[in-house]
Amino acid sequence: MKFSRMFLFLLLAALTGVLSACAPQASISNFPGLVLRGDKAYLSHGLQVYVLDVNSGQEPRIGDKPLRFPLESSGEINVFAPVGFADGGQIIYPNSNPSHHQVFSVNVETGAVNWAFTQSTGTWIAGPLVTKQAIYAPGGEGILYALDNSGNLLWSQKLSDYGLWSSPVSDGTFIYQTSMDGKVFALHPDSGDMAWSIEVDDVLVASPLVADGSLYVGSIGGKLYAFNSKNGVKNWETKLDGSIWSAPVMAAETLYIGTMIDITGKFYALNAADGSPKWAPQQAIGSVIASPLILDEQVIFVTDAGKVQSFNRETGVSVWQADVQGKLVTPPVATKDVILVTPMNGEYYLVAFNTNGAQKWTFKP
Amino acid sequence: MDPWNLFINLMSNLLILIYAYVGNFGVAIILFTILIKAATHPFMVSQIKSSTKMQEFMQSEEWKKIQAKYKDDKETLAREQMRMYQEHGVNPFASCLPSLIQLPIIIGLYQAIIRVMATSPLQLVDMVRGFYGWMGDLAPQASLGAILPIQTHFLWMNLGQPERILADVVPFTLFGGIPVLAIIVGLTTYVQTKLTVTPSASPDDQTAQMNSMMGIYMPIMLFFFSLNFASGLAVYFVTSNVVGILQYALLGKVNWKNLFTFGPAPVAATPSTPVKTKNRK
Repeated sequence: MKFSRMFLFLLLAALTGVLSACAPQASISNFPGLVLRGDKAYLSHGLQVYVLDVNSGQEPRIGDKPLRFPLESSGEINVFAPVGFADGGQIIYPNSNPSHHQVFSVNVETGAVNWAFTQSTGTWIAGPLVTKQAIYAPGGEGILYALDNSGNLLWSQKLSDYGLWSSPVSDGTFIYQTSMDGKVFALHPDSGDMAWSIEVDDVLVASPLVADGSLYVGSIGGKLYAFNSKNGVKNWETKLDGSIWSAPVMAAETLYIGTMIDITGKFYALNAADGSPKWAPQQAIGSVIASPLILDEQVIFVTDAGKVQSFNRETGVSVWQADVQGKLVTPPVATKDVILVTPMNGEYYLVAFNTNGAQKWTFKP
Repeated sequence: MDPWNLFINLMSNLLILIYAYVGNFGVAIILFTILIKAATHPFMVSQIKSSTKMQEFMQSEEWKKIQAKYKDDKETLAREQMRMYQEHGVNPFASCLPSLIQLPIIIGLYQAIIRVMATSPLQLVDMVRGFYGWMGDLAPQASLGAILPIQTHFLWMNLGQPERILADVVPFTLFGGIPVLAIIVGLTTYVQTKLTVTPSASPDDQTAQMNSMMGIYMPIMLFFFSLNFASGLAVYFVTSNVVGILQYALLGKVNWKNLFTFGPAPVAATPSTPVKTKNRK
């Protein structure tokens, strides 16, 4: 081969590399998932689930390698959804790679794969709900799957022609699931039979919150709905400024929720009984995509401008605020002493704060 | 917001507006691609004219003569070439400018499709954030509530997913089913590259070699892209290729003989053309 041909070939190979990097990946990108269990944090952040000791920020190791799921990263597995925990030391996580439609169960100690569920045909977006009865996994093709602890299909229910982008929740009586096309479903956990369903004229991306006999659902149109969880009858609805991307959290009969208004947002505290404001909405620095965190007397919001803002949850008075590099779009989690946030597109994958807002440790792989 | 993001938002909202009226995202992608291709057509015409003029210029006796005369003296050759460009009023970069104008538009079109398709909540945030709320005031069907969620089913495909058919019947294939659309992308890219390649004066010409390699390389590359990416993008690739061929055909620039010719595209055996000299006063 002549030199010039070799040069052309190398040039084209480089072009492929550049185009591959610029082009959207076969894998999707999504909000990282973060779950706390005991003194371990499980962070779903792209290629692997990272396990971290909450107090030290260190990864447990197997031999000379850190314990991650899957043990070795590959272009075929993308993990963004928060993991679930099933009996027998199982971690359950879906693969969000659009070309592979699997839900994996791995051993929490060794990372060895127990089983893989492969019957879905859509891209997995949301994390599973794990109860004593079953593992409930919302599929990207609009089907809710119920699996037993060995990954066998118990039942499946087609709920929507669109993807299920929210995780289901349960109050022990029903499984509740929202769908993109504005539907809310209550299903019997053993059979998947529909107990009730309702439809709102809006788009639902957020998971619902079920508490004290009510089901709270936020919409992209900025409405927060409260339904009777037993029969789906609407108790109230209220219109907030902006769009709602995550579930509210509740403490002492107050709902805390944030909104996105273009590149800004608002923090709300509402009375759960009727949706009226408990304290005046606070202006956020950045958009509020993630659910807030309740920690003793504080409610902690994060924004996609990298702000961590703590308020007194009774009065709405600011307690402290901190900055991190990157977007915060994942709900923060906390132990008694440590608050964890997950920056996206930042230097670190995880940042730990004390409850007074002082940075404790950071993690990057 | 940075200018590029504003531009992508503009393109995205145009696509959304088309979708709001036709109600089918596959059709919206096709119409949007045709619209953008039509808008950039004058640049393409200008590019073809410039490159044809350049091609003719490089086949002239005078040009060939100085190539042969100064083949071992690159510095003098460059100086002589520059002199000829000036004398004949030829700008060697004239064909690049229209390409440079088209390129960001085509990339913008591609990114707009990805943004509007929004295959995850993260992408939907960007889409909602960039949405022009006033469109809903002008036409109710173009409001956010009316267009979301985007209906991504088109023909046999889910436009948000890589496309395969008969995945259950032929799961043993390398690709887990038959990737019909990716094959169509590969074929149309091959056909377009072959039909629209500019003939070269010499098979040893580097441009000819590059064209020849692109004719093989681009179809393979886009085939593999289409295998893994959301099929909405593959619909865009196919439409873009077909419209590209039609544009060349309308201009009479399609070279059908090239379709089954392998290796550098030869130029038709024509006598060397004299070059018009720019009149100087």
